[in-house]
Amino acid sequence: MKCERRDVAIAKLVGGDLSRWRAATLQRHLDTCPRCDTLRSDLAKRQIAVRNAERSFEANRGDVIADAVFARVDARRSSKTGQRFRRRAVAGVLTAIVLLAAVVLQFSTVGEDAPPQVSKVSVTESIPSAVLDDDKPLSLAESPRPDVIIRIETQNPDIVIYWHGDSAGG
Amino acid sequence: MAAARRANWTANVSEDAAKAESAEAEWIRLARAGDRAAFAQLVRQHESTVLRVAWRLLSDAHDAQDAAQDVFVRLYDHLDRFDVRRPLTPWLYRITVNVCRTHARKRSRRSEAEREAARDSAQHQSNIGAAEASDWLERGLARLSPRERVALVLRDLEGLSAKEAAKAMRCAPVTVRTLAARARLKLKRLYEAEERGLEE
Ligand SMILES: [Zn+2]
Repeated sequence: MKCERRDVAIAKLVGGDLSRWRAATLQRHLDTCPRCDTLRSDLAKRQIAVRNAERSFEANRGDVIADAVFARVDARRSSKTGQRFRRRAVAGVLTAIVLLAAVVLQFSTVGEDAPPQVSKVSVTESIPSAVLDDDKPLSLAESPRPDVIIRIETQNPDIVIYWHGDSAGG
Repeated sequence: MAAARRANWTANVSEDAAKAESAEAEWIRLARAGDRAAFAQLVRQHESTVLRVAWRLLSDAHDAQDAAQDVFVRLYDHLDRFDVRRPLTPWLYRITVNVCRTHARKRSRRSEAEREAARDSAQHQSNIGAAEASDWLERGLARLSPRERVALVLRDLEGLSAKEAAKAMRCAPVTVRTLAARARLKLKRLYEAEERGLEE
């Protein structure tokens, strides 16, 4: 086996990632191969440097993160409440619009199609003019029965309904 | 005599660990009930670990801080689901790795100018030193593939076992061992190349 093909195994050995059996086999090669043994010792030195570099890291931040987390949790909660409120407001406005539309529709229907309410009904009798024009005196039997006119006034002053019934009752 | 002393020391260490775990379980119980001071205690207990890993994975103090906040917001959201008998750290490692992966993806979509501005403001706010932010390890980590980087950070910097790192990375321990080994070789070669560059 070429030495380069052992590199990953050597790096595993340094990290303690080889089984005992494979480590022992590799160690036998390292004892006889200066190239691979140098690689092992260089990797081991780097490993120590990595661990020391990591130890120098110290995060001392007080409650910065906790405070930021609470702020985010609170903001999320208030935005949820806001959303709920907005949803309710929109639903309320829509309901009001629908109700208003229903009421307007109702009244506009009354105005256009339904007859205006009756405010006054008067009945008058009139004698046909043709008969009156004649100068002849009339006997009781001949005397014409007067026409009946019913005048119906509505709440709308522009609408007055006349119902004209002739003497025959038509 | 030495064996007895070692046995005594081991007993003390495991006693301390048990005490810390029971305190943690108590903080989780209190935090679940809405006690913010208890939650802050949990954050204080673990923030160094989360920030350190996030910083090593993202190479940016500002991004690391954002990622750490995300991790603890998730902790807050998941409080009810924790088994208080189990330690929190493995879960935190897994979430930190996940969150950092998402942040790295987002960052790759950000422009270089934005990144520069973020770095400046982070360096201003943070007590993570500028000298450390530009050390050889930082440069080495930047050359690794994302998975090699996570494997190396968890195995060699955090000192997790291959099994623990595998749980955090959601892969097999054998994969972690290979990734970490490749990362060690790359770091070594980079260091040698830099040394040669200095000599020339
Ligand atoms: Zn060899």
